[in-house]
Amino acid sequence: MSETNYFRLIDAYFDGSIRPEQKVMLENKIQTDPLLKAEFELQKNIINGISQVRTQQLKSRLSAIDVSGSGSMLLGSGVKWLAGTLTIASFLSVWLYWYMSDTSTYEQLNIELSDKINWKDQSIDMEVPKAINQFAENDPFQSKESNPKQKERFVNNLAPNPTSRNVKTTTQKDESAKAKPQSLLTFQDDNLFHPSNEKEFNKSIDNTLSKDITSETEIIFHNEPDVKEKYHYKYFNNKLYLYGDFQNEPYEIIELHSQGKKQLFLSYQDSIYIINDNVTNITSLEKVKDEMLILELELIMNEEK
Amino acid sequence: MKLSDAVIIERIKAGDESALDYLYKKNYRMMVSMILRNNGSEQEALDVFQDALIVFWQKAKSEEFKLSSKISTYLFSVCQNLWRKELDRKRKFEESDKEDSEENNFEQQEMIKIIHECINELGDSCKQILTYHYFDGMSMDKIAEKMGLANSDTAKTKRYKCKKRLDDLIRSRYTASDFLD
Repeated sequence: MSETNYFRLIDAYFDGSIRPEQKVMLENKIQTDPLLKAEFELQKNIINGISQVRTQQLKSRLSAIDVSGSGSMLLGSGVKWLAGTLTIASFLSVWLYWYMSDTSTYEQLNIELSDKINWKDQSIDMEVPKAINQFAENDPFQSKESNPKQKERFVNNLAPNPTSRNVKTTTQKDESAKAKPQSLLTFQDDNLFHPSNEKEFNKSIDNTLSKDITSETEIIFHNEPDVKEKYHYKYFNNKLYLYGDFQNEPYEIIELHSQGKKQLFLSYQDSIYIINDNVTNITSLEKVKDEMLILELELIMNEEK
Repeated sequence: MKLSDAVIIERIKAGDESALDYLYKKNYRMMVSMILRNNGSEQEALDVFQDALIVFWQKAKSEEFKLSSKISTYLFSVCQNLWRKELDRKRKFEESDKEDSEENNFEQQEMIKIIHECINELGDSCKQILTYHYFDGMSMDKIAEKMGLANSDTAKTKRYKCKKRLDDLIRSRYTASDFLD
């Protein structure tokens, strides 16, 4: 085969029209002919150069494209993803929140307060056991605040039957001790979930109760909270306890500082309740009636959101 | 406007470069993020993604090409492979005798520079027919149709003349630069 034919084969090689047997022939010749090899390398570079020119054209075209729109679009989807994740996480948190707190009739919230409350000499308040609730259903009086005499009478009715009282106290212990705190837990409160601590906690409650049963300790039973006033609260051991059915919506605690004094409020289901300090007995949550105060609190809540 | 993969392939086969623009916008963030996550710089990520798109462009234009996955999946794989190759090249460069490789690279770069200059000296129609033939792998019929030539024979003759002109230009320049060395 003439040299010219080999140059044609190189051309056919690069445009893909070379036959397999011609390709083998060309490759063998390249191994032995330095001039043909140099020509082959030159043609390879030329074809690569043509490809590179075209590649650069296309790359220049692509580089000129504004991808900020695409980026923001994708960022938007990222934000949507994040928002979706947060929503799911929120739902999950709310569900866990209600699930964990659904262990007793009353929902309890413990809030550590920096202000020390002197609760010495205060009586330990307990929810009324079921048996007493049944008894209380016949009682026309709804709370001890409304009529202290009735409360006293109620206690007196129980007094002649100490056995019955002990049994009911135990029931009360179970309800109180196993009630898990809801959200807004402090780090220290996490210990309550620890099994060993729970035992200790139960034990301490047992001790407290056994002490309470002695004649030196006054035990006060409350009537079941009024149906009309569904939500109650008290401070115990520097913690705020909330009682009521809070399963419908998340609640919000607002802390208002004014002239060095702190005032807590509870916002729940379109109502705002006042939480007075140093209340160690279970007390009904009173709705805030001052329209200006409601407006101010709503503004604070909206700002936080 | 959302384009299906089939429509995109169809457009690429027809030489519609706007299909490439669409893929670039659509997949930009995902591909670049992948390279950034794998120790690449933003510029490297951009280069690799653009190269991947061009590989896809060339593949999609060939008659035998059949898409067996989503285009985004295909592009992602090409990007991954190109980036692995680039990392491998970097590693080899670090391990090799840098002086030797830099000298060889310089010679190669010099030749490529001459070739590029010569190509750019050709007229637009010559550049177009050569890139359609050697880069896009278009048939002579398609080239004739795309460039408004009479038929495939006319396209074939034009391609031959353009290539010969380019070869001659390069040979003259390359020989001259050899003498200068």
